[in-house]
Amino acid sequence: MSDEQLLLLARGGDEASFNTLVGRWQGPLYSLAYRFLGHPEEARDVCQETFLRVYRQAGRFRDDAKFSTWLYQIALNLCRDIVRRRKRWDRIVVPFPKHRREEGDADMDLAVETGADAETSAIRRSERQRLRSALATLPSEQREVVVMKEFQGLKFREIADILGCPESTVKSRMYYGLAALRTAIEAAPAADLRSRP
Amino acid sequence: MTTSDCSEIRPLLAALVSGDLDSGETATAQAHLDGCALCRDDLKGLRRTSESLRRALGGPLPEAAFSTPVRLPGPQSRGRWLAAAAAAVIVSLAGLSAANARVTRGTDGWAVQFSLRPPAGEPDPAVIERLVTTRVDERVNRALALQEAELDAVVQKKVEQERQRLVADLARTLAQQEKILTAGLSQDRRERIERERARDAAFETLVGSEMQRTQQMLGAVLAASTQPTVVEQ
Repeated sequence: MSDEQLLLLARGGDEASFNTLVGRWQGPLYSLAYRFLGHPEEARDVCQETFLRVYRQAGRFRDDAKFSTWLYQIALNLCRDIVRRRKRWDRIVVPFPKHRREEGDADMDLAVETGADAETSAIRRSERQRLRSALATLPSEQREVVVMKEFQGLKFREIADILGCPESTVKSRMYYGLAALRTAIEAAPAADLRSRP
Repeated sequence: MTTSDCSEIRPLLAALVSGDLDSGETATAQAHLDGCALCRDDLKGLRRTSESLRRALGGPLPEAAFSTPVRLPGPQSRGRWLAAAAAAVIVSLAGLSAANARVTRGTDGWAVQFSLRPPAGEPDPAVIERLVTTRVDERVNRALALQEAELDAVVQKKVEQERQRLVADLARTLAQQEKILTAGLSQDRRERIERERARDAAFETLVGSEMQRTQQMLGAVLAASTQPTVVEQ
């Protein structure tokens, strides 16, 4: 059954249909939010809030629209809200967001590297840290495209639909995002990148 | 190839990296790449970056999003709402009774007491979360208010300092101007007096010499008048 059909059933109060949708999309959605925000707690919040909004606003879903496009739009808006809130926090209490991000990093490192060879783990951790920091320094509009293309495996056409902009713009953002990442990776040592806001 | 060709081809390089390109675009990009070493290097670098990114950050995530299925509020039918409301009342009453009941054993035997005030126990996580959120909001508001007050104080202090500096500068400038003017006036007056004195002195000298010459002439006239007159025969 398609996502759109399941949503129609969920709109009528069918819990099982809604849970099927959640089961189908929670992974991709969490992946998007986590890679965009870099923090598991915030990513989980985005997932929960996204599904809540999907349920509440199911009546507004257009029949000719694509469910995944709508879902990603909601999640991206929530992610952007969090980034905006973080910036507000950065202005008030400077060390707080850095501390929170470091917690997220530790979570991921532990989860991924349990049982792995220590030396290889250290190299991988360093590379991962460098790339994560570089990704975090990208402007939001480039980061969105890079994450959706590289980790979600979406087509440029789909990304353009989600962002509501021409496909050529998405490709440009992808190019400049990758180019900026390349420059950051090649130019700055890990320590420098980590210290960036 | 010109620089403008390269700038036009760049979005296609990103698409080439991910293989998300139609045949026409692929041909255009390939034609450009055949004659442009700069873009070929660029493409290699983008591919390396993309591979590194996927290798480093494309692994398993820290934890799953949810472990339990989402519970919906239910359909908007009257019967279901009533059933849910009734169930909620029953559960609340049972919860209140259980939570506020206190069983004690005295000298007369077992006793059960009910109270409107719930006994102390494990705090509700939702309440804690709400409290924390409220406190965070309060702290943010307090911090903002403090910052605003501090900024106001700093601005007021700066304005007052600037005002005092301007007043002091003005007073100093006025004093200097006055001094210069006074000095100028004194100098003028001194010079005028000197000039007048010199003129007076010159006049007195002239008068003195004229008087002396007059006296000499008078003396000569008098001397001439007192000598005897010789009459020739």
